[in-house]
Amino acid sequence: MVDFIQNTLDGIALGSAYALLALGFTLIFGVMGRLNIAYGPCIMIGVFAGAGVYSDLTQSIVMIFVATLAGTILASAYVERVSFAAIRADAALASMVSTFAVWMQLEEIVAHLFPARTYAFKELGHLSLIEAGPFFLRQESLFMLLVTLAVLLGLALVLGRSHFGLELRALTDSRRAAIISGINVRRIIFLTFLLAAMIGGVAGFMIAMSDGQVTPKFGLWATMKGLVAMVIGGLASLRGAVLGGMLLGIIEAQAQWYFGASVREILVYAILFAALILLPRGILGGPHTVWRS
Amino acid sequence: MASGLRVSNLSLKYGGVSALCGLSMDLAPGEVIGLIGPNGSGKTSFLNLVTGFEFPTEGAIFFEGQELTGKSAQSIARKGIARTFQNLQVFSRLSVYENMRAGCHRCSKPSSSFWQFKAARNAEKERILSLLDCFSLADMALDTPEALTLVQLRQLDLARALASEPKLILLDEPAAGMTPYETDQLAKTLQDHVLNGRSAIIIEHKIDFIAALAKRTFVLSAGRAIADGPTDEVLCDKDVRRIYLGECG
Repeated sequence: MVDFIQNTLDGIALGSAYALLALGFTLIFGVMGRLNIAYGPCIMIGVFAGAGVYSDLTQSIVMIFVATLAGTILASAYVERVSFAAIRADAALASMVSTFAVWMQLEEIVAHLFPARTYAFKELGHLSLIEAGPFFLRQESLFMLLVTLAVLLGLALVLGRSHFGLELRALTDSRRAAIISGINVRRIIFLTFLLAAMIGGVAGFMIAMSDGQVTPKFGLWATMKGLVAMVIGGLASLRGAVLGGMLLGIIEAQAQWYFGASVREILVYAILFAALILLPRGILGGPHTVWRS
Repeated sequence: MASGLRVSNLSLKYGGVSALCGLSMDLAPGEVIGLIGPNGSGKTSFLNLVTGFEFPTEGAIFFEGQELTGKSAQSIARKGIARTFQNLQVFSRLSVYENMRAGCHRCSKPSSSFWQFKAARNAEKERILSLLDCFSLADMALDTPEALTLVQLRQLDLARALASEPKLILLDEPAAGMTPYETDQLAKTLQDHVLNGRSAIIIEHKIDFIAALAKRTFVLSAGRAIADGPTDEVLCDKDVRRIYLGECG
C-alpha cells in the first residue's frame, strides 16, 4: 500500500506537467474544433531556445525561462498563421495535415541548428527529498505541482474574469453567435494560440529542467502525452484535461513500478485504446460536449 | 442617401439557382420595414447578405454611406448592425448575464485607468440589468439558457442583440413558436424597447405582427421584390394576397 501511495504521489507530480500539455491542446481544440499536432514541436522549439541560451549565453534561470517561453510563442504564432488562419474554417483535415508538415519543418530546423541532438538544460539542482512518514517527495516534483496549480489558477482567472476569457468561452460555445455579437474571432483565436503556447512553454521548461537535457524527440513526446491526456480526460474539456493529465501520470508511475519501463508505454497506449472505445469523448467530455470550462 | 441602409441590385446565386435577383431597397434611419414572402423567397438570404454571412454575386450594400459588400460578419456587427436568427443563437454554456456581456462587445472601449475600467464595468452592468428587466429576465441573470423557456430564449437572443446598441436591427422570425398572447407581448416589448427610433427589418409570417410594427412592407417572391409600400396597402395588394396568402382571384 505504501508503494501504491508513493507511486500515486510521484504520478501526480508527473501528471501535473501532462495536465498543462493537455490544457494547451484543449484550448486550441476548443476554439478551432481542430487538432494542432504541432503543439509539442512548438514546445520543443521553446526548450531548445532555452537550451541554446543556457549553453551559449547565460545560466540565469529567468533568461532561460524567457527564451523557452518566447521560442514556444513564436513557433505557435507561426503554426497559427500557416496552418489555421490561412486555411478555410471548414477544412479541418487540411489544417491537421498542415500542422504535421509544420511539425516536420520545426524538427528539421532544430536538427540544423542543434546538430548534437542532445543538449543540457538548466537543472533545479540536487535538492533533498521531503520526507513525510513513510513517503518521500522530490522537491522538483513539488515545484512542478505548485507551478501547475499557479497556472491553473491564472487560467481560471483569465477565463472567468477577463473580457478575453468571456470572448474565448463565447467563441467555443457558438462561433456564429460570437460573430453576430461582433467578437473578433481571428483575434481571439490568435490570442488563444498564444495562451496555449505560454502554458506549453511553462510545461516544457519544467519538464526540461526536471530531465536536465533536451532532445528533438521532445516534440513527439509532448504531443503524444498531451493528446493521450486530453482524450482520456475528455475531448475539449479543460477540467478533463487536468484530470486526464493527472491520471496519465499516476498510471505511468504505477506501471513503471509494478511492470517496468518497457511495459509502461504499452499499458498507457492500451488504456488510450480502451478509452477511445469505451469513452470516446473521455471521462468528462459528456455525450455532446463541445467545450466546457 | 448618406445614412441608413441602401441595397442596390443585389443578387445571390447558388450554382445555377438564384436566391435573390436584382433586389434594391432603401431604409431610412429610424424606419421599420416588414419583410414578408413565401418560404424560400430569399428573405433570410437577404439578411445573410446584409450581415456578411454570405456574399452577393452582384450588387452592393451601403450603411451610413459606407460600403459593406465583402466585409466580414463581425466587422458589420461592429458597425452597428445586429441580427437575430430564426434558429436561436445563444451561448448555451454562458449565463444569461454573460450572454449579455458578450453582446456588449461593440460598446466596450479601452480604459486608460483602473477607475475608468471599473466605472465602465458598472455602467455596462446597469445597462445589462436594465435590458434584462425590459425582457423580464433579470431574475434569471445567473442561470444558463438551459433553464429558459423558448419564449425566454427568444427574448434573450433579442436582448443580447440590443446590448450592442445597434443602429439597425434585423429580426428573423422573432415570434416563431410563440402563442398569440406571447406574440402580442413581444410586439409590445419591441415597440417600447427595441424600435423606438431604431431602424429595423423584421421577417415574420404572422401578418398581424408585421402590421402592428412596420409602416412599410417589402414582399419577396422567388428572390424578386414584388411589392414595396405602406403595409396596409401592400397587404391588400392582389398579387401579394395571391402569391403569399394563397388567395384565389
